[in-house]
Amino acid sequence: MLEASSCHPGRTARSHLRIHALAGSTNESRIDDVLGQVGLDMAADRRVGGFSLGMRQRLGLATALLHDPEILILDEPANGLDPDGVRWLRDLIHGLAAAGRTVLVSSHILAEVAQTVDRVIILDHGRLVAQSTLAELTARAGQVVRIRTSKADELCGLLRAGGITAIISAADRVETAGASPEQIGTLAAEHAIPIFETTTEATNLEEVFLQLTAVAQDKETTP
Amino acid sequence: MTRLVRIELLKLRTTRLTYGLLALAVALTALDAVLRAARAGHGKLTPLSTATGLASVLTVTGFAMIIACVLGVTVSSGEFRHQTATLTYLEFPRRSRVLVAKLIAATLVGLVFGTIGSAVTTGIGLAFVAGHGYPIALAGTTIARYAAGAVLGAALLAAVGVALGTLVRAQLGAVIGVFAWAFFVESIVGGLFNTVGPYLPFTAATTLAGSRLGGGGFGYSGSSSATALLFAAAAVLVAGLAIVLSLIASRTSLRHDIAR
Repeated sequence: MLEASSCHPGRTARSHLRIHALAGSTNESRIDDVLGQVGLDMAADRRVGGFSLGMRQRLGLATALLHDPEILILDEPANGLDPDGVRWLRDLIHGLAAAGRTVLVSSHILAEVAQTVDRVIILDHGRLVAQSTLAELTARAGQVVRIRTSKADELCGLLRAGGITAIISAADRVETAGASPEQIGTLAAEHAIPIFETTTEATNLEEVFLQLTAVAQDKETTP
Repeated sequence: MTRLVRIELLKLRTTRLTYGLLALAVALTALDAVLRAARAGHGKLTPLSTATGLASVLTVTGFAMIIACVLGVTVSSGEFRHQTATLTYLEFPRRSRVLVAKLIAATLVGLVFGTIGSAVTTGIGLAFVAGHGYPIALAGTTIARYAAGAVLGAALLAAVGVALGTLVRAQLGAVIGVFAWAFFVESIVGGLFNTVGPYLPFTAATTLAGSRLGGGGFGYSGSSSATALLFAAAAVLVAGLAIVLSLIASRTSLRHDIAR
């Protein structure tokens, strides 16, 4: 699906779809189906010029759905949709996926994407940074583990030496990512570092993205 | 190709601009014909009872031709103005085929413009003749030849418009260019270089419709020292212009990226 601005403003939604139905040799009877599917059946005979951004987005989706494709590629499909529309879009994408279609969504709104997708591909400056299922990705990036200890400096150094991302967030606190509490606890015990408290927090997709792209950028800057 | 042409015709049918331009062509042609018919016989103007006088009304199809050319411009440049080119070229990546389809579609619609234009001038001319009670001073075949020339001229100029719009892409600029060329450039160039006058595209197109040089109100409104091109030569000239412009466009602007 292209950005929905790719329609002539003087044409009605139905005319726009008729042209693309003809272009793809698709039967015109599909037009009412897709208009209904994207919730534009009431606006079918209105000129696109008077459409809101959300309506254009729906029309763009309708155009993409017209030929009943096996694979849909959607670029920022939630653009301009109101909260109702976003939920509707999510359901639509789920429905298509459940019907065996492949839907590729490219988006910057990660919280929204996280609610919709099964698999994630992260690109940073045109390079593939990660590719896996959403669950794997968040698990791999690991939970954030926060530790309260009297020897924050020492623990932080040990963790870093072990290749684990760690920072001292307060005098007696260390924050780590990419390691389990078990790993950290074992490491601390081996070096006789007392741990008073550990809390774990699942990372969300946004944090994973930031971590991964930050790592990628580090690699770029270090020779 | 048939499907591509059908798509282009459907695009034309589903925009208001097509109908607006057709209405404009009818209105301007009717105005031109009515004024000329009303003024015929006054002052130096020959009356409608003569062949020259009647022809001066029946052949004022120049507006229909110019508007057909403008329609051609919008057919190609409109895709860039409204950013529909992206989708069009995604569906049909061979851009030259799209261009050919647009040329054919615009030519077909140009035929309609020419037909309606000549119907308007002929209707108005004959109505005035009947009103005065004159006999019809032109043979039926001559009137038919004028009409056929107007139809052909409008069709070919529509194709020229498509080629121009492909070459220029900037719709407003191309439309202004068409009007400026037709109204000013041809009369200036034709006036200064009498021998070149008949070969200027709008002048050539209006001579197809039987307009005498200097009588059509369009293009080169020049002197008596030049003779109008023959029908076939004028047709070949205008068609050739459409083909040459299209070829230039297909080697240059047609290959350019579509800016978004």
